[in-house]
This record gives sequence, structure tokens and C-alpha cells, in this order.
Amino acid sequence: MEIPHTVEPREDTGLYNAKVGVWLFLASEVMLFGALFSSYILLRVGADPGTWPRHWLDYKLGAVNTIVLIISSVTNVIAWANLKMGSFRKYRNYQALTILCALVFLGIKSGEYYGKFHHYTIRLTDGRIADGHLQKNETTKDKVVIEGWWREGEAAVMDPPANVEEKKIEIERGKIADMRNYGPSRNNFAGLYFTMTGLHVLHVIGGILVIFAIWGPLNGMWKSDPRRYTNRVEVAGLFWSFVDLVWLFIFPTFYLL
Amino acid sequence: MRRHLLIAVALAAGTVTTIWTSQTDFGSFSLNVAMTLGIAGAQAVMVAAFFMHLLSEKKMICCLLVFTAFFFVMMMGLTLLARLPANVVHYK
Repeated sequence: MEIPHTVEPREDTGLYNAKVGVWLFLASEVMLFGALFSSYILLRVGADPGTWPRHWLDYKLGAVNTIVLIISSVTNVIAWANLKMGSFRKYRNYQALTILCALVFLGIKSGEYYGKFHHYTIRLTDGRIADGHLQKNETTKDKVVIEGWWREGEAAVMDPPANVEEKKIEIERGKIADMRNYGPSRNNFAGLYFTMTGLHVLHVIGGILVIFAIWGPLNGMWKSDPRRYTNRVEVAGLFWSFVDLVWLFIFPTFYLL
Repeated sequence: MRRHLLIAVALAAGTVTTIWTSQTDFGSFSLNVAMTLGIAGAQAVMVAAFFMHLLSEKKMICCLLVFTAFFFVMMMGLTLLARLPANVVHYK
């Protein structure tokens, strides 16, 4: 028995099943990310002045990622439009660009995460604070070598000054009072940054796996049932546009404000 | 296709404008936040309207999203309720 309205829309709503389903799913995703955003807002407005980090993230990399996701959304929609007009070849080309953009996004994000895990704030026993990226090749059991800056107090750690030249700093391990990286356990900002961008990355991976599966191994349906295949591409595209939409809020929240 | 490319250019311009507003001193940090998130909101509306075809979508989807928006606003409001002074929430 065939399930009705997988291709032909219902007379009362004018929608086919998958479209209703994906919009309901996206509504639940709004609440998921919304809960995290509201947590961020509550923690941010509740933080004492000068204790909430600013300018910890490279906004230029974030902007590149934003443009990459925008391009991927455009190519995704154009791919679907070409499929609606019956051009499978053009659909494949544009959807390949979508997949490529997603991989670029993931690559840049991986680089950002790597940088954060290798970026340390070192508090010395004499009260000085050093901040920079660990130079693993030069670090030994006796000394830690970073490429970074000396910070003038906690305020400069929370809101680092811009355009200060990095220099190599060698610190004997015996003089280190505390050493911690910019990972998720650092503070609430870092915890929320990794949680929200990590959840977003999982959505990017999930979305691109679905888009790739429909583009690649499952594209035989284009020959057997082209309208149903086009609908699959459309609902996957709706999810992909939502992933882009969430990033449009994550970028200014974490990278700019 | 031309319309989609124009929207993409508008979104990219919005991204650049967002960076500019966040780095410009308008006298009040709250104003910076409002402007930056306002531009992000406008970008989100463009993505929803044109890339997700909401402009031409059926009424049922729009009704569903009205409910979603209502519950989203309620959730944000409940979170900010925690910031109210105690004597407002628990009257003596």
C-alpha cells in the first residue's frame, strides 16, 4: 500500500508530507538553539562588568565562514531550481558546490578549534600573565614556549588589545602558577561557544551527509520518480538554509559583540 | 537565479555592515547590540523568505511558524524573568 501525499500535495493544506514534517522539525530546532541563545543572554547580562570575554575570536575567519555558508545556501537553492526545470546535470554541479562549501566551512572551524585548544593563558608565580599559542616543537619538560604577548592584568586577558605584535616567550615550568587553554572548561563564554558552534557543526555534518546521499548514492530515484526526488532535494535544502540562518546569529553573538 | 544572486549579495553586504556596526562607537553598547542583531535578523528574514520560499509558502506553514515565534519569545521572556528583582516576582 502506497503512502498518500508523498508527492501529490493534500487538497486541504496544499502540502506534501515531507514538507510538513521538515517544517515541524525546524520548529523544534528553533527551540533547541533558542534555549542555548537564551542561556547565553542570561549568563552575559548576569556577568560582573569586565568578566565577560570580548574579542577572543577572529571575526575575519567568522566572516569568511558566513560568506561560505551564504554561497552554499545559494548554490543549494539554484540546484533545486534546476531540478524543478528538469536539468539533472546542472543540479549535480550546483549541489557539488554546496558540498564543497560545507567542507570549507568545516575545515575553517577545525582550524579555529585547534587554535583555541593550543592557546594558553599562563599566570606566573610573580604575578605576570603571558598569553599565546603553544609552540610544541620548542616546549620541553623544563620550559614552556609560546608565541604571544605579556598581558597587563586580567582586564587585558578578558578583552585583549588589538594589533599588538606577537613575540616568543619562554617560561620555566617552575615559575608557572596556573596554565589553562581557551577550551570549553575555561569559562562560561568558552563553554557556550564550543557548545553552540559544536552543535551547529553537528548540524552541518548531518545536513551535508543527507545532501551528499541524495546527490550521490540515492540519485537513481531521479529516473524512477523525478518529482519525489525533487521533493527530497527541496526538504534537504530547507534544513540547509536553516543551518545557514542559525550561523547568521551565532556569528555576531560570539565573534562581534 | 538572478534574484537568488541578488539576495546573496545583500546577505554578504549585511555581513560586512554587521562587522562595521559592531566596531563603531554609537555611544551606547546596547545600541551596538541592537543594531548588530537587527541586521542579523534582517538577514535571517531574507534567508527564510527567499531561500526557504516562505514568501510563497502555504498558510499552514506560516501558522506553524507563528506558534514557533510565540513560544520562542515566551522562552526568552522566561529566561529574562530571572533578572527581575525578587520583590517583583515574589511580592511580600
